[in-house]
Amino acid sequence: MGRAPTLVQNVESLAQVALLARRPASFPALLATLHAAGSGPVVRELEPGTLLGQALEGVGGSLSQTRAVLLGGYFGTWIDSAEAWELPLDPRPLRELGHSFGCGVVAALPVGACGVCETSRVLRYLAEESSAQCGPCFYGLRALAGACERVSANQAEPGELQRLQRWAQEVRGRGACRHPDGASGFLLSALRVFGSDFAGHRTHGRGGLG
Amino acid sequence: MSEELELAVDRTRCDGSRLCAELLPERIRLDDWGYPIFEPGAIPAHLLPHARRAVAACPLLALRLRRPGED
Repeated sequence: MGRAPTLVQNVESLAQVALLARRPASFPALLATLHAAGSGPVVRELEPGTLLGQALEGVGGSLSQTRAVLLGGYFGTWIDSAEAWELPLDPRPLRELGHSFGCGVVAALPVGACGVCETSRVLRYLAEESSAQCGPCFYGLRALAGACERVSANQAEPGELQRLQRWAQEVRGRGACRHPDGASGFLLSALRVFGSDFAGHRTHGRGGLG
Repeated sequence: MSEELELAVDRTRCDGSRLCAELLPERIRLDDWGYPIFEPGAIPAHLLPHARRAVAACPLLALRLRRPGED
């Protein structure tokens, strides 16, 4: 930067180096950002294989207060809470189960919160983060976010859910980077986990997106 | 001598002119915003002249033919 040679480092890589230097015997430790229902996010070092439910309970979470879990951040997948609770936090087994540890964020959606509204909010964010270089991503993610917002506002148009499914499939693999693929996987998992909420969404008293 | 070729597009160049889908509807359809979606796999020999025409017609030089697996 400023014409000087510049080294760009990933913060997590540096954190892993610190862990390795301090306790080589226990390497690899897992760094996870845990966001239990009703409390703020905290970063924890975990033994690989720790059950997701155990990890969230360690920061004040409980299965009875959790509707679903978003594993792997905004490019991750929504998982029904009972299924999520039993998952081992370890990238390889998670991959074999069809999930991804992704950026290491484990976020609980509280019982009583709405998966449709939350998905809609995240999708709008992802649409706005498109670098607008490739048409299918730029237009596709905006259209997907708009459709989710209509469902969320109880103003879904005829065939909206089928269109959401089709668009989510169509944007996959059609960007120069993987941004649309991440957004698509996130949305498809929402349609699986919150399927009945998408099909019969009611507007909430709190007025649109929370 | 025949060679297996498939369609590829530079997504950052393509601006959805729609010409390719007009010239090669057997292999290219458009999404709701006018950007091409390809049938996967190699172009059958009898469609190759049409595919070459579509490539030549792309106003942004975004469309091309490549050997499967090529970048």
